[in-house]
Amino acid sequence: MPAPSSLSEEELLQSGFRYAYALTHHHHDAEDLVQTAWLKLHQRYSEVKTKALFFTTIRNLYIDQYRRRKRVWFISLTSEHEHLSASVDTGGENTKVAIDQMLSNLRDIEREALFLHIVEGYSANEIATLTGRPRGTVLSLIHRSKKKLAALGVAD
Amino acid sequence: MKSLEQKLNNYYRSKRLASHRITAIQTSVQEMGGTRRRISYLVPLAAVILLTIGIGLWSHMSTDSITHQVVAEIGQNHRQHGALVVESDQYGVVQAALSELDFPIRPRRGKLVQDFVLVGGKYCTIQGFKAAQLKLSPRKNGTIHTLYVLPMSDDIKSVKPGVYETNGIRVELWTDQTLLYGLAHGQ
Repeated sequence: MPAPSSLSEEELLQSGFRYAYALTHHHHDAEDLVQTAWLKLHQRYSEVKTKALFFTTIRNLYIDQYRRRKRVWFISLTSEHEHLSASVDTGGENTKVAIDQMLSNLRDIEREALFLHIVEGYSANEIATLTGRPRGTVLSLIHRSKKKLAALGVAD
Repeated sequence: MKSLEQKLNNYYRSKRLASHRITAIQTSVQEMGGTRRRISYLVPLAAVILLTIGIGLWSHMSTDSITHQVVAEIGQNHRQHGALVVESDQYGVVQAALSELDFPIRPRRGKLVQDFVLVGGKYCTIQGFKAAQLKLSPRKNGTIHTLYVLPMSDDIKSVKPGVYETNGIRVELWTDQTLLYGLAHGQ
């Protein structure tokens, strides 16, 4: 089954996984989401035609399955403090853990907007098209989430 | 300090789908393709089977339908005691009198000729086809049986031979070469 010409099948899967991870902020949920979306598209079109379609399918599945489930995370205060105190400046794995912790403080729609803008390089207009939100809302989400992260220590 | 963009980029780029998971997804797609191929073979096959069953049922029902129509018409004719065109116990005489018929009216069943005495005959129609209606009387008693003889057209070719009953009248149907015979008695 050929992947779109610009990306290999594996690159597309990895890209979809990162987007799913931005939405769920949970490794196994993101894996399940990508697999379900991939199979769904193959079932319907025998291939994954475009990255945008793949992202849209992942997003729709996420809305159907995960957000409605209203997952509640229990994190011990001690570990949270330990993670936060690990700080951004220490670099390497600690940095990743700290960013992970800080991203979990963002809403899924904020993480999504930030990911699409910063990592995927989508413009506000493109994000608005993909997510079905007004461009102004998208810009506001990006701005607000950057501000939140800056306040948490992931500063520019 | 790295910029926010760099940190987020590095963070998300480090998130990778495990290779075993990619393999599992690709395997699932291949299996799904196999299943779809199997289904794509099965769907026309199932359609052909259903169509065959449907045609068979329709044919069976239509055969039953024409048989019942013929039996009902014979039963109805048998109850009507109209005047005979010719009265004779000789098949030859009745055949000559019913000159419009271009088929032999004498039944090939020897036992029928032997056990029954011909009373006479007249024209009638079965399913719109011209037929001979012969009145016969068993030698043992004086009851009247009616024998219908008509050529088998395409429309009534599918009539199923057998013994039927309609409104208390027993009708036996059989075929012999190109002719259909129906013997009715009762009431």
